Amino acid sequence: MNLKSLPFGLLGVVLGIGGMIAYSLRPDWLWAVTIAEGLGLLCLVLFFVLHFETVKAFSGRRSTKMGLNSFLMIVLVSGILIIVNFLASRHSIRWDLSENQNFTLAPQTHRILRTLARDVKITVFTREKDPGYQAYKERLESYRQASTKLAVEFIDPEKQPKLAQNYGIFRTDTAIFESNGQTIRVTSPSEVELTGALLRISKDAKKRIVFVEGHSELSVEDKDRNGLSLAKEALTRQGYEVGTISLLKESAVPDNTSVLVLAGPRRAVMKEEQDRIQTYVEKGGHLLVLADPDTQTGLESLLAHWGLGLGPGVLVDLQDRLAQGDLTALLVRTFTEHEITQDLTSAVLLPLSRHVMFDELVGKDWDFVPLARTSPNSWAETNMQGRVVSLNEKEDVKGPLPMAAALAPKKAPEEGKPRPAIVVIGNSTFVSNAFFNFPGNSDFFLHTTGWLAEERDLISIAPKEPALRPFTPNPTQERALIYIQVVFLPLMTFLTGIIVWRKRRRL
Amino acid sequence: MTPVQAVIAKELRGYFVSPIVYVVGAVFLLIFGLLSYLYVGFAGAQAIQLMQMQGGMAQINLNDLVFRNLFASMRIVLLLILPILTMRLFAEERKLRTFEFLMTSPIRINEIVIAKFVSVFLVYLGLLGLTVLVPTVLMLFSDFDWNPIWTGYLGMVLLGALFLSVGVFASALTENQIVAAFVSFGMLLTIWLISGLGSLFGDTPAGRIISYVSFMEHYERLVRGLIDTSDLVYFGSGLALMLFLTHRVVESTRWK
Repeated sequence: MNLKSLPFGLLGVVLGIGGMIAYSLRPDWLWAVTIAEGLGLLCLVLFFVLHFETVKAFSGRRSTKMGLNSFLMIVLVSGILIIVNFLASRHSIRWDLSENQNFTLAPQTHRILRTLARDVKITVFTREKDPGYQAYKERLESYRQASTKLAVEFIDPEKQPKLAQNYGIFRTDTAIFESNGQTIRVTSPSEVELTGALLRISKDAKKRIVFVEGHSELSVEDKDRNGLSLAKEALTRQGYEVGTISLLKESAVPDNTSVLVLAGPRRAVMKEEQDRIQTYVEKGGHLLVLADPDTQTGLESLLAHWGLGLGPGVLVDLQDRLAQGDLTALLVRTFTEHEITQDLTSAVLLPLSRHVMFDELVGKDWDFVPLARTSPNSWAETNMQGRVVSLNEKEDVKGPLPMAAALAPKKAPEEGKPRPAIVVIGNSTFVSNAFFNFPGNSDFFLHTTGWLAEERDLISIAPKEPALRPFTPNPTQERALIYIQVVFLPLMTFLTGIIVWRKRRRL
Repeated sequence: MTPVQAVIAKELRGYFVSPIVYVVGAVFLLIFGLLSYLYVGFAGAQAIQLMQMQGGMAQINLNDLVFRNLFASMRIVLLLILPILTMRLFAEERKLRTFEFLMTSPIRINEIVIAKFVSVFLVYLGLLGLTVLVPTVLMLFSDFDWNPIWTGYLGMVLLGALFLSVGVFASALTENQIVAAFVSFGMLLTIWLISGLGSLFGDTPAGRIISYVSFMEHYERLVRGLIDTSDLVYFGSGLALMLFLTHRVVESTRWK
């Protein structure tokens, strides 16, 4: 080997590596990097020219050929594995065996993702140490797998404070949904929130749910126990617009009203108002009536048009009631097969309700489906004076009795015309803030409004119940665990080892 | 008996007559049992804390508080223990000069590599099989869901196979067993730490690729109860790559 030309080779390598390091440190000094790399290349070319014979001999050697062959095979196999992994990560199949089906999306979510009309961008502002990070990551990964129209990005608001500021993020674990110029903010990684946001963002025209006011009804603005602010929030989350109306002021129910709600009126509903409601329903409107017992509202005459009636007294159930609660606090578990009730899994808690009646002669054109019933061990108590209530066959009405019913016309409407529908529930407080968080209640209410608004896919997603199976071992169990898990198994293995070792030593 | 079976039988005999597998096994089982016992102890206290923090909406069950933590902790135990099981496979043959016999025998190199891997994998499966006693004992007193436990075990099997294949590769590189153990330990730790690098890059394409290379997220999904074909492919291809590299290294002794 020509020792004089060796420095060329070394210099070439040093210049080449030095140039790359310089570029990584100061990318703006491109001229210096170019010069260094150019000189390095020149040195290496010189080195190879001067050592041509050596290089030729080296490349001709068997070990070089085999080494190169091996190297190429490694590159090839790695390339194949990279492609296989890329394809596998793009098209994977999943089996969710987790206890709470953490990775499985509700059928409603799947339906919404399948029919997603336009691209939605989701930006999640969260840090790895935040409580919602894992849930956002897992859930949105499942969403992204189910739809190609979703783009999900995770941003650490501490690392990119400018971006967080632009979006007005003031707390982490916030997701921003963007589509078609609209923006929706979500602050919890629950499926209900995420799917709700997806629904709202993918629609331009929102269905309107209007609450009638002026008769001391429960108010959607009221945040107290008797208010409906939670129900309003839940409806908004489902993609509805929630409004109120005073039928005395308006000449008719606006056409864009998807559902008209009478949420427990306490005072009389005037004749003109009733006429307006009737006209609205006859034009194909959807009416939800929540009527409490012991109220004189004159609604009976309105409902009588369709054969409906509100029963007297208060429902008393010895069987389906809240444990330790009053006999009138119904915990309803008996549902009739209907679109509203088919997915209901939790019981509905109805404090103090009345039953719904139906006159088949008057309402012969209508299909009457009782949604929920009291147990056979129940009746409508007409005399609530005194604490002891018992069935008085003469005055009371024997159960089982329906406390909620849906009404739809038997005949299909003419082409292009909306189909009217009415739901009557003999209680209004179950939707109030005090009871709305009871899982069955919110489900029942959202299913009902969803059915009335004819948004079959907007039915609520029941939040996943946390798996609650606490276990604290008693002292005996604790000792058994120690003996079997900690002492017995390792000791047995260790002893076997000693026996084997001793045996071997004796050989 | 096929040549592969013969090599497997020879290797297994080698494992069971030496005390090393019993010591490693005893330590492995002790840590597994102790960890599960400690997590059961913590679970009660943790449950109360979670209830208070999240207002009764917390997930309180043995799967979440005991088994998930147990499987997650076993990663580091496997990382420390498995290189000791694999360190002797090729290094010892080189040291004892039996490597040449093996290379000149009619057995093909891929058969040798596969047989060595399978033998140590069987030993590992045996140890894992013994640990099933831990959830079985817990089942007598408490109530939990077995499905996530099986996926956790699947994760341990796949992760163990990957670790063992890295160990086999490291053992083929050198004739010193200690060096082999350290090399495989270092390689595994590097693949582990790569996931930290991935999270440093965040949710960018580079970050996603780097995180994908590390076994962390793949293993975690299995521990949480999700079987994803992409994770199975990841472990399978990692195993295949390491065994292929071992094959190349062993073969290179022929022409070096």
